[in-house]
Amino acid sequence: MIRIAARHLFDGHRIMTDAIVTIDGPRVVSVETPDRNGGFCDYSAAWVTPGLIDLDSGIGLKEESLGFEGNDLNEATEAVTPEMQALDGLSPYDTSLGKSLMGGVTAALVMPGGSNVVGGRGAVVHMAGATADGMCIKAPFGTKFSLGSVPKQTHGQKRTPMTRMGNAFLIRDVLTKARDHREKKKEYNMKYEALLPLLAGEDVAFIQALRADDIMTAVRLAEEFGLRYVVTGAFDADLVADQLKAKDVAVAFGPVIMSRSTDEIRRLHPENAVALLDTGVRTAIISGHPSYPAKYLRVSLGLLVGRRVSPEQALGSVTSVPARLLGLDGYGELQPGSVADLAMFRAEPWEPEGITERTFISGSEVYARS
Amino acid sequence: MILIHGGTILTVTDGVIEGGSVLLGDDGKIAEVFTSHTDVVGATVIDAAGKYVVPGFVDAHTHLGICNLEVGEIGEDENEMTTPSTPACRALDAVYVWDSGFTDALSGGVTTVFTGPGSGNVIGGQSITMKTGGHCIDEMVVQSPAGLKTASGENPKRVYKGKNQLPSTRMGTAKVLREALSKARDYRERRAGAEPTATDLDMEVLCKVLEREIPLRTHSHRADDMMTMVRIRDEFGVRMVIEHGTDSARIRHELAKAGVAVIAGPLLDVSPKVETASASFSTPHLLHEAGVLTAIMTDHPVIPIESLRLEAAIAAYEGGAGEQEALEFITVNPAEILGLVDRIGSITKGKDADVVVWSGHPFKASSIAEKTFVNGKLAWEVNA
Repeated sequence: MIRIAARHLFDGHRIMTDAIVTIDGPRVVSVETPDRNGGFCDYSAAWVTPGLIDLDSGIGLKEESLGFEGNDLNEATEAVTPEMQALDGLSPYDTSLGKSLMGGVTAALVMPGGSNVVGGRGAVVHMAGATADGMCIKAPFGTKFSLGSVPKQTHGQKRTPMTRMGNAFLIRDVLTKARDHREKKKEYNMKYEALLPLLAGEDVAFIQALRADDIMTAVRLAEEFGLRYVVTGAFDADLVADQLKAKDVAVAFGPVIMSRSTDEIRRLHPENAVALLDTGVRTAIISGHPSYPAKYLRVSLGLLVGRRVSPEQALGSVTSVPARLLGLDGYGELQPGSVADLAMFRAEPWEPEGITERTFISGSEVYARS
Repeated sequence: MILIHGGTILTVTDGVIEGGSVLLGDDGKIAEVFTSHTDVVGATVIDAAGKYVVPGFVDAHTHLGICNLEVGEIGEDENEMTTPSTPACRALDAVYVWDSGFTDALSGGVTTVFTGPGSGNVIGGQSITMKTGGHCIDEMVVQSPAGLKTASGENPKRVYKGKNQLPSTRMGTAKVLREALSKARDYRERRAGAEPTATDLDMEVLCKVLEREIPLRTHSHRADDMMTMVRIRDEFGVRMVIEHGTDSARIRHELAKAGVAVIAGPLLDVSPKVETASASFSTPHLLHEAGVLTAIMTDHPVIPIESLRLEAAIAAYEGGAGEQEALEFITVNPAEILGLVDRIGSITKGKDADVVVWSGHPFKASSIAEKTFVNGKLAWEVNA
C-alpha cells in the first residue's frame, strides 16, 4: 500500500484539496478527503493528477537526436498503408520516453505520421517498459488518416494524391474496396483486412485535418462509412465548432505551442484553442510529439488557463477526455479501482514551476526527481 | 509621457520594486523609475496595480522575419546555399517586417531581437539587431551589421555533401572559414597599400570582423566544434559568440577561460539531431556558474518567439537557475552580448523605454503580456 497526501488533487474531473490517495498494487483503492489528519503518508505533493495521456504522438516512432536511423514515422513509399502497425516501429529506447515521465505523461496513443493518406494502425502504450510489447496497453488501436497538404506534398510529384480531391478519393476508394472485400471475400488482402475493425465499429479513425475545410472533409468521409472518429490537429476547429458540436465530433487539438510555419497552421493560436474549448466540443489537448516535446505538454496547458479555461477543463483535456476517446476504462482518473498511473507536481502542473516530482505507472514508481 | 503606476517592477538590475512607478519619456527613453507611487503632471497613466512591469525581453538569436511564418518555402530567405561562404549577404535586405512573427514577439514581451542568416553555409552573412515594434526595417534596426554568421558541425557539411561539394566534413568547414579570414587579411593589407584594389563586398565584411567591429556569431552544438571555432578565433584575433552551445556544459570552464559568451538553445523542442542530444535546460545555469556570459534563445521559428519566457522559466525552476538569473538570460545578458547593455535589458533611467505590463509574473505560463511598449510607444496591446 502506498499513501500519497495531495494538497490539491485532480481526480480527472474535479479538484479536491487535502486529499489522500491510497494505491495497492497496480490500482487505486481509495481517494479520501479526511476532516482531520489523515495519518501516515508515504509521499506528499502540492499537486497530484492522473498520469497525462497524449492522444496523438509519434514518440518512439521518431526517436530523439537521431536522423534516418531513428525515423520510422512514415512509410511514405505509397500513400495508402493501413497495414502498417506503430508497435512494429516503436523503440523503447527513445530518450523522449524517459523525458515524458519527467513531465508526468504516462501513456500515449502512438500513431504513424501524417505523410500518408492512410498511415496505419496505432498503439496505446505506457511511457515505460523494456520492450514495445511491455509498454503496450492495447494494439493495434486507432487507424491514422491524413488530409490537407502533407500527403499532397509527400506524394504529389510521384503518385496520387496531388490534391485534396485526391486525398479524399484515396480514402473513399480504399474503404469502399475494404467493404466490398468483407462482403465478397476473395483472396487475402492485407490492406483491406487492416480496415475491417474500423468498418465494424471496433476501431476508431484518427483523422489529421488542420484547415476547416479538411475538418469537414473528415466528417463527410467518416459519415459516409459510419466510422467512429476523432479529428486531430484541428487548428481551425473553432471555425466549424457548431457543426462539430451538433454531430458530437471529438477533437484532438494541438500542439498548442508550435511555429505557424505553413498556411495550414496559420490560425494556431491559444485564443483559437480557447474558443474551441468554450464551445463544449469534446477536446483533448495533444503534444504532437516530436513537433512539441511531450514532456512539456503540461506547460502548454498554462497558455489556455491564462485565457479563461478552467484548470479542471485543461487538466481533463490531457487525462479523462483522451482516456475516454481511447476507450481506456480506469485510466485518466483517480478513483477507487482506477489504474494507478499518476504524477506528483511541485506546483500547479500547467505552470513551469510545477515540475514533476514523481511519476507512477500501474502503482510502480517510474520517475523520481533527484 | 506615459506613467506606469503600481504593480511589481522587475527592474532586473536594481531588484524588485513593489508599487513604484515608471515614467516613459517622449524621447523614447525611460525618464524615471520611482520606488514609490509617484504622480507626474501631464503624463498618460497606465494602471498596473496587481500586475508585473518587466523590461522587454531580448532574443539574441532568431530568424524572425527572414524565415517567414505561414507561407512555407516562399518565405524562407535565411540560407543562400548556392556557395558555402556568403559574407556579403545581409539580413537587412531580407527581413519582412509585416511577418506575423513580429506580433508574436510583442505578444510575448520580446522587444529586441538579433535576426539573421541560418546555418546552411559556413559563412552565412550579416545579421542585424532590431526592435520588434514598427513597420519600416530601416527605423527598427539597431545594429547593422550586428555580427557575421558562421556555422560548424552537421548543417554545412550536410548541405554541401548533398551537392558533392566542399565542405563535406568538419575539416572542410574549418578550412572554408580559415581561408576566408586569411584572404581577408591579405585583402586588408593590399587595400591599405599604394595600389588600390578592386572592392570585394565579401572581403569588406570580413575586414570588419578582423578589425573587431563585429563578432563572428558561430553556430556550434558539439563541444569539439566550439573548441575548433575558438581556435580559429584566436588564430585571427577576432571576436566570437557561440550560438546554441548545446554541448557546452562539458567544456564550460574552457569557455569561461576563453572569455566566450554562449547563447544557449533552442531548448523547448525535441532534440532533432545527433549533435543536439545533450540539450538540457540545466546548461544555461551550469555555464553561468562557470563564469560564462550566457543568454537563452528561441532560434525562432524553431521555437515560436513568444515562448522565450517559457524557456527561461523552465531553466529557472527545472534547470536550477532560479528566477533572477533566468530573467537575466533573456534581458541584461543578451543585451551585454549584443553590446547594447547601455540601451536595453533592464528598467533603468536613461535606457530605451521598452517595457511590458504582464498580467502576472512572466514565468507563469498563464500570464499574458497586456501592453508592450517599444521606445516609449505602445506597440501592442492584448485584444486590441
